[in-house]
Amino acid sequence: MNKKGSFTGLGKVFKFTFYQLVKNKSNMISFGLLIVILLFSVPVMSLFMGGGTDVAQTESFYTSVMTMDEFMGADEVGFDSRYIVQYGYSILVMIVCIFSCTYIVRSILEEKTSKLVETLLVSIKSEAMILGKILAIITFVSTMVLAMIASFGISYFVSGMFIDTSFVANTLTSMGLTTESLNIGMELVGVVIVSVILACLMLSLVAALSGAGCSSMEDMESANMSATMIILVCYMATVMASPFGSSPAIFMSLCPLLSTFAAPTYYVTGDIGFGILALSWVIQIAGILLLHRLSGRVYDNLVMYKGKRLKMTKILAMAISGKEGK
Amino acid sequence: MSLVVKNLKKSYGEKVVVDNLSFEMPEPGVYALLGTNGAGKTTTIRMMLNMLSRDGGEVLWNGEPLSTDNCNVGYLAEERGLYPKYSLMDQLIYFAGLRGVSKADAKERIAYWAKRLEAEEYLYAPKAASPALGEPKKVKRTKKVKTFKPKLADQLSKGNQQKIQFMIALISNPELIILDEPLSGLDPVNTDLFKDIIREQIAEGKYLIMSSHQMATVEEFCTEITILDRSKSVLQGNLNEIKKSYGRVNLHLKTEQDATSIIEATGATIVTEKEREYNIKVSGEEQGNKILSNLIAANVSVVTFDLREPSLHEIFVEKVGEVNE
Repeated sequence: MNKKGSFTGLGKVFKFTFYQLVKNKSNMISFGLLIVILLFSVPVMSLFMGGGTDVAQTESFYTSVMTMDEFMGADEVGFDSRYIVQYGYSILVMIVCIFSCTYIVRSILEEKTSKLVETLLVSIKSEAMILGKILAIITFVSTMVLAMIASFGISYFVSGMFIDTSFVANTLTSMGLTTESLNIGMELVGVVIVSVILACLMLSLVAALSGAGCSSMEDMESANMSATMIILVCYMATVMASPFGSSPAIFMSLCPLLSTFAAPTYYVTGDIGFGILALSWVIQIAGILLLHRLSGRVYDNLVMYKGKRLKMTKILAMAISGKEGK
Repeated sequence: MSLVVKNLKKSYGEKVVVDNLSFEMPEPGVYALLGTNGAGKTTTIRMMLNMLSRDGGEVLWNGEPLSTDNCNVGYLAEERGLYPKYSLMDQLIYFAGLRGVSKADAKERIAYWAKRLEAEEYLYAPKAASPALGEPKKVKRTKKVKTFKPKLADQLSKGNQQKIQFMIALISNPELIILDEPLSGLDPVNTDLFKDIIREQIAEGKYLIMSSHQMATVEEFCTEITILDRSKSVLQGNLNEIKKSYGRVNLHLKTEQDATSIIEATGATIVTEKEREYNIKVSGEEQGNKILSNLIAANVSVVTFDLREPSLHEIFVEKVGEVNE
């Protein structure tokens, strides 16, 4: 007997989607190439950067810039460190989210255009289907990113046995990124993991919402563009806020979409405490639940919809009013 | 078990697409939803399966609102498709899993249906030929077997894709089967294959709802019908009773000699005539019998005399025509 509870079948969708992503040859070839490039990255960098670059040499590349707080003497973390942390984290989240969103939009559109939706909806609720897909795609993309980071780590440690790789540590130190200044430890790793998961879930649901408003593959580009633009705006806002030091920290950390990029970095640089970070997580979780509900509703309402891609504002209005597309 | 559809309503803005539709299936059998294009058949099915919200009405299975929680439903949608780039076997196992069928059971059922629907070549590697008498028993696997690549949906013809979709509809051994235009786009061989399976499902005591434009097919399987036109039910009931109510008004006659004047003398209307083979519209059995007795009296040799009720096709055209007039 087939069941249709809210999350029944989620595991099956997750497993199937993940398996198909792994089975896709072009995915695996691109992934393999990236891994190979990263495995050789440190020795190649060492060749060009001359191995034993010291801190003084590296620092000469950088111009000293101060944040407002730093200038007023109220900021313990320098502009460079703050900028690099925000830039680095935002890039990581952006890569994972843009990859995930592209896959999600494609996956949702593929089902709609190949007329599979009706067959699927007899067996599973749209909410479970969307969430299963999102989780599978996030897992796949995160695994790829983690494997890439691990490959770089392997390249660094293995190369260190044979050549001088101190230029990597020196470069980071010159930027103010040290294990002491950033309190790098298990707690930070946990914060980053939770934050990345929440960011991916929230932004992927935005992509799902955007994809659900389309009825043909021609709309994929514009649906992708909408989702990517939202991610880019959040990213730009976070990076551009860094010169303002800790002043916008609380606003940025509690604003639902911006907080996915901003909150963990402000926490790392000590601008917000764990309480504010936890509150930002709660707001993000509430946002995720709301977006999940809305995307399921839009998917249901637009199952039979055939026509031009609906704009995000119309999709949201439809999700809230519960009216169906013709 | 019973299925009751009560006062289903659906409109998009001002446009009513299903207007107060009711029907029921107190026992297993085949119920046909017939109608012109855009009459509301598919919308009715989608509302029954909770894919579309209803503006009114209810659908009950054993007295409770129909859902996939209380009824194992198999559905062959009108707009059907498959993942174009995924292997067929993966898709079948996936859909079976979503319907609560374990992987092991799914594999067994896929093997059964693949054989029944003659779709084995798309799902399995061809078996190596058995050694002929006198040949050594150890036969090397042929290259073809070794390099078997699972077929993808977009490598199949429309008809063969339809076989896979039919397998998906039946894989959970459903008790209620909804088939929306099940035979459209099939060649005569595959049509017969599908018909055989539908007959088997009926014999197993399943509840089938079929929507189709092919009146001959509906006539072959269905006991109860509803004809929809422009969102409204224009005719409903038991097919045999509906036909009986029209009486035997169709006469198919074949004679050795020309019989036109004899037929016309009785007041009957000749609809078509080709080489002394006539399709005649009579007012009833009395007029039909009068034609026969007049033919015998005039020494006309009768080859075929078949007086019967109107076909479903005729009833459909007449009913829909009446409403539109």
